[in-house]
Amino acid sequence: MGRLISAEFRKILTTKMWWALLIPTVALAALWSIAGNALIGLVLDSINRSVVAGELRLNFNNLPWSTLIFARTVNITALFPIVFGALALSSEINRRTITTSYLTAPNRGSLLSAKLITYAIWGLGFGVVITGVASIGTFIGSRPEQLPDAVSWLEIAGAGILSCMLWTLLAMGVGALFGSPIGAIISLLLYTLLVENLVGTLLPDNWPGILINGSADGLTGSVASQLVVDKVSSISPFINGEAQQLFSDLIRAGAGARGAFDWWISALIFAGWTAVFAVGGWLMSKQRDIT
Amino acid sequence: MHDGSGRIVVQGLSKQFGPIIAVNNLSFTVEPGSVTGFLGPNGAGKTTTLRMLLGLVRPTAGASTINGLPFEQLGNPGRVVGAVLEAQGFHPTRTARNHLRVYAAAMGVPDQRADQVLELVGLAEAGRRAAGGFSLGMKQRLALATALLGDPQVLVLDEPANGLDPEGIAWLRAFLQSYARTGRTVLISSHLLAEIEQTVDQVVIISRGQTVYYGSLDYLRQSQQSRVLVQAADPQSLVAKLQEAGVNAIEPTPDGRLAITGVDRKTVADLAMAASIALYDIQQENVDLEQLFFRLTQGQYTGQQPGYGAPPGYGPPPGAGYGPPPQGYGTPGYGAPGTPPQGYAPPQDYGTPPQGYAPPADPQQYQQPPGYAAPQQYGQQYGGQPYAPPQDKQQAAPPPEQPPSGGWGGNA
Repeated sequence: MGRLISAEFRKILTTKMWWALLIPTVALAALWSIAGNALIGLVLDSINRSVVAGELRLNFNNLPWSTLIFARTVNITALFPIVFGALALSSEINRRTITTSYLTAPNRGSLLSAKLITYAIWGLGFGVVITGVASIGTFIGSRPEQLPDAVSWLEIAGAGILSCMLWTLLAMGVGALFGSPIGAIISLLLYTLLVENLVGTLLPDNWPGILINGSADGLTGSVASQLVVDKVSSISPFINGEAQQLFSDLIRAGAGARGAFDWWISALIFAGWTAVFAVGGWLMSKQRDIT
Repeated sequence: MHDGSGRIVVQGLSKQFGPIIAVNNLSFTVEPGSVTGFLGPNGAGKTTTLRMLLGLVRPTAGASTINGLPFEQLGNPGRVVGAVLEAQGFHPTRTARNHLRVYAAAMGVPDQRADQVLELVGLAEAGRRAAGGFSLGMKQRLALATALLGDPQVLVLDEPANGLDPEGIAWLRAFLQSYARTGRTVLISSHLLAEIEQTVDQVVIISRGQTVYYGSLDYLRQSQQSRVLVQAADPQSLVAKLQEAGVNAIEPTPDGRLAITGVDRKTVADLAMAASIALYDIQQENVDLEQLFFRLTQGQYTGQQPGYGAPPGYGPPPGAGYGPPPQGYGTPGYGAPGTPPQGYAPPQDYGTPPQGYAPPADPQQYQQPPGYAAPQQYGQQYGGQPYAPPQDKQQAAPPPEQPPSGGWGGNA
């Protein structure tokens, strides 16, 4: 197994794909985290200047808004580990290198296991880069009073890394199922960026949180929105009960996790989806004739 | 663990792709220490068979083993079998050397081995170039280098000569022969008998997914009856003299020569001498193996014609595990004058293959080639058109004079 994993690492490192994906990953993460936090700053400024906020003595300034941007940054940038994972097996099929890969592995199962482990590691790597860049971007773009504390930051960064890893593996499973890079990438992007957003808006309550993207967004978004929601009471003593609930839901939606469950339930649901696609891709790969 | 025998056994292998039967109950054995040719026209099922043997395609029925085990039980298969299946399995931007290092890691051989095999196939200087920019011939060599990476006991090559220049083909030929001489197994497929005729010792000939001949190439060669072509000053007298001597298989050819079957050149010359008949020209003509191959695999593209069974003598030999020739044998009007068709039958003993060969249960299966064309074609072959001895054509190919270590030269 060690041999096959080292071969997989060589496969990745001897082509340009990994850094061709890493560059836009870093750029997008930086852009979102800096611009997003700057935007929040502008919005807060205009709220602070508004008459209503003044009258009601609402203070939005001390909530960790930056975590919402952090979660959104991770969710959007995960697009690149998704592409990376989708190519893991499908590009080998497309390039026909899969023939030699199967011929030099004890059996298909061992090759697929080696790929799963390798891409889990790379997915983690992408997650570390994304959360790292997002952290730096947040630090630059956010106002100090809106930053999370260290523990909260660790929580949200951990959730982001886990999310990236699961996305990579899920995409790898989809790639293995489809057997075609174009087919896998287009359907993954169309689904996550368009289909599920449309379907999600039609679903009531917690239903969007059960879906693939919904649970993935919930994993990071719930951590972030919870951090903010915990501090909702600090906005104003007048916000309580139903108003607080409404406000919390708004914040969740703002974190891109409308209807999501708690982060750990979201993580389990998303891990379940990852397993479904990974197992599907595995079974398909075992069956597929390499002609 | 595998038994280390180097033997390939294919038993009752079948593969159906949707409605298409690509391979139908195919059986043969490949022994170590020899180069075995796997022949058949395009679409006969060669590639599918090799891919089933290598675990890439799942057979619909039957099984195959290498060293006594199915491919997926070989442990570290790259060290047991090397395969050249296509000249395309490279990432276009990965360098040749990196490609080899990937698979060196996968099979656990040291990285230096990548440079060794590059050297061996004459790609040392191209090693740091991306494989996408390689010519077809260079890709074939890189594919061969990949196959050799694990120093395997068994080599399986699917049409490896495609894209190679004549020099490369000569090198490959010598290389494979020396490889087999070290007691290893080489199985090489081709759709051209001439291409591998000088390389192989054994042949498995398939057509439409079924075996039509399986045995030694020498048997096949010997089984062809040669004939002597003479240009005599007095043909009538020579015919009379020959008939006196009991030689009756005599035919005039369109250009005025006599074609005599069943005797050698010396006998004819001696008889002519004794009868004081001047001979202007005398030559022995062996029937081209390629033509025989063509005949064995005919029907691949023509439809099933009822009434024609295996052409006499060309089909599988009687006995020896093969079913009897089916009805339709010897259709009236088929037999060519003066040429006993049985002369083409591979010898009786060809069919006693090594162990593990399952005789087909159904004689119909060997009703090949069903679309056997027509007497005209038969006549054509004997009609004297291909006067030049076919060997000439084969000699046109460069002999394998280069030692295998010599590299490929050429367009590296």
